[in-house]
Amino acid sequence: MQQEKIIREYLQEIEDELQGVSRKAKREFLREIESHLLEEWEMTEEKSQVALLNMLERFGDPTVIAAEFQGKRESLGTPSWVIILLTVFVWPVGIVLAWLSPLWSRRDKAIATFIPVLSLILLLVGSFAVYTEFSAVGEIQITDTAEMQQFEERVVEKGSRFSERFWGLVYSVFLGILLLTGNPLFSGIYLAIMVRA
Amino acid sequence: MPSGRVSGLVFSIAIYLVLKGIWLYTVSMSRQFIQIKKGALEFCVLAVIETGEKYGYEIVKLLTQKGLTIQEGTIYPLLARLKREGYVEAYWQERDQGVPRKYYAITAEGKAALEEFRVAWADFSQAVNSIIKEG
Repeated sequence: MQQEKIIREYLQEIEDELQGVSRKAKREFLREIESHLLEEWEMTEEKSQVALLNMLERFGDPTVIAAEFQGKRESLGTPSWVIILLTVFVWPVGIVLAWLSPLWSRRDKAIATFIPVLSLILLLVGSFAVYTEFSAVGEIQITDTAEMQQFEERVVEKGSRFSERFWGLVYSVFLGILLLTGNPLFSGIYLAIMVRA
Repeated sequence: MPSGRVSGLVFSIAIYLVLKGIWLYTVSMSRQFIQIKKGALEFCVLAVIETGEKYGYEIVKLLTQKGLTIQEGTIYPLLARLKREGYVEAYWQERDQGVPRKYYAITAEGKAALEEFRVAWADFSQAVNSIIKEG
């Protein structure tokens, strides 16, 4: 039966999302949900596939249901505060532990990962724009005295451009440090807010 | 001296960091609201079970009838939580026809917690009402 298959797939989706839960607890939880779905389906007058899909839609997103179930369970892994601190100070280690922990939903883990990555992209794009601004110097062709004078002016200008370029690099390094330290902080704050209560 | 583009970059990053701060604040606020709603829902479920043993589907229908719309599936993690906290007990019951049902009954501990919540909620809602009405 197509409808039974849809319900089975739905239950399978919940099961797949249940990480770090004992087999017994998982079975009990899924059995209860199955009981609800089958009873509600029995009560549904219109036995169409659309009606079934709507019923599952009302029941909720498998990811959210599984996340809620795992919410108050004791975490088998590292405590949340350790992961948050590591995320702030040693971002790569912290974020990997966060991905391994059932304390956050996949969505929140993705957001916490994406925050510094987005900032790094922003920094790279910004730095590239600054760099191209400072390194744009035209070709030099000298044929007469007037052009020689022009060349000398350009050398002076280039010198000031070098100084600008230097300041540009200083700014980029400063902003880089700011973003590299500031963004894991945001990442950590986000994880602290979103940790499953 | 840094050019306009460097200042532009600094300005953009400053704006970006401020926007990110505002976003985190908003996320935190909505999270707190969800926590309040979630906490209240737990006791609504306990109150429904207090009137007699109920099974999940029945609890969802009763809550919906009272105007409390929830995603049906989230009731089961909530019931599992109440059971872990010792506020409810559960047992499976076979039926002559159809699938077995898992029934929940409130425990003495659950009743005590519900009573405590009733008092706390009355004070809290009274305070909130007086603030939002009078400002």
